Amino acid sequence: MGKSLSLKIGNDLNELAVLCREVHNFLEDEKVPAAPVYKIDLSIEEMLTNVIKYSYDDNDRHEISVYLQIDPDRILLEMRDDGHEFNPLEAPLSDLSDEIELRRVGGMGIHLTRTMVDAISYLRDGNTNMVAVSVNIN
Amino acid sequence: MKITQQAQDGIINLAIAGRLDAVSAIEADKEFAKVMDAGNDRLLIELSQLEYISSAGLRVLLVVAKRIQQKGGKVVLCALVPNVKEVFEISGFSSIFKIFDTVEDAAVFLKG
Repeated sequence: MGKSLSLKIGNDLNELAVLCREVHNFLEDEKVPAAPVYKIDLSIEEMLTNVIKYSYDDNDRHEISVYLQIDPDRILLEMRDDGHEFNPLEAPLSDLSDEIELRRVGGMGIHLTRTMVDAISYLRDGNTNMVAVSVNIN
Repeated sequence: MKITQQAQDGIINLAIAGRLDAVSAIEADKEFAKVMDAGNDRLLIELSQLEYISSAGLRVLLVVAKRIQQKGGKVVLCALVPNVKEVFEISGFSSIFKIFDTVEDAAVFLKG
């Protein structure tokens, strides 16, 4: 098993920004190449921004946890939250219209993440959403 | 994230450097709004120093494109690094923006 990192934040966009920086620095310090680092950075930002913005209907503080593991050939990322059940693999594809006028960006983050990572899976376990992402290091 | 502005021959060159993420998108949005409020409608957005863009960053550029189109102006992008280019391709933004490899080619198009 390679090096790993576990972090927990509240459902707060400022805390997410700090977490994104920590993950990015961890991967850079471990000499992970720029392309897989980009994909992990993007997955965390897109998935957890959605969770923080849309997954809760109270004003309580909720815990979101992130686990990262660097294996020789890939990076494993697991994100857990206790928000509404939401399976990003079933989310509708965003509108990819060529017309600037008609174009919206809703759903784009999920589309980018699903397309750029090498594997993504979703599990609902009790009241927890777990999204696991795998990105190859080549 | 840092945006450097330069005006020449009625074209505003905006070079975005660093990371255009959910946090810096708010700042970028304001800077672009200021540039457009000042009446500029020919924008050359140079991205050679842009390391990272997420959907929040794409949203900023889409707002710029919509507003410039309404004014009958032109906005072009140039010099995307490979990771950023991939995001533009997957999102379909490659087909809604005019994208050039170099600043020179972008400037020629804007002057035309």
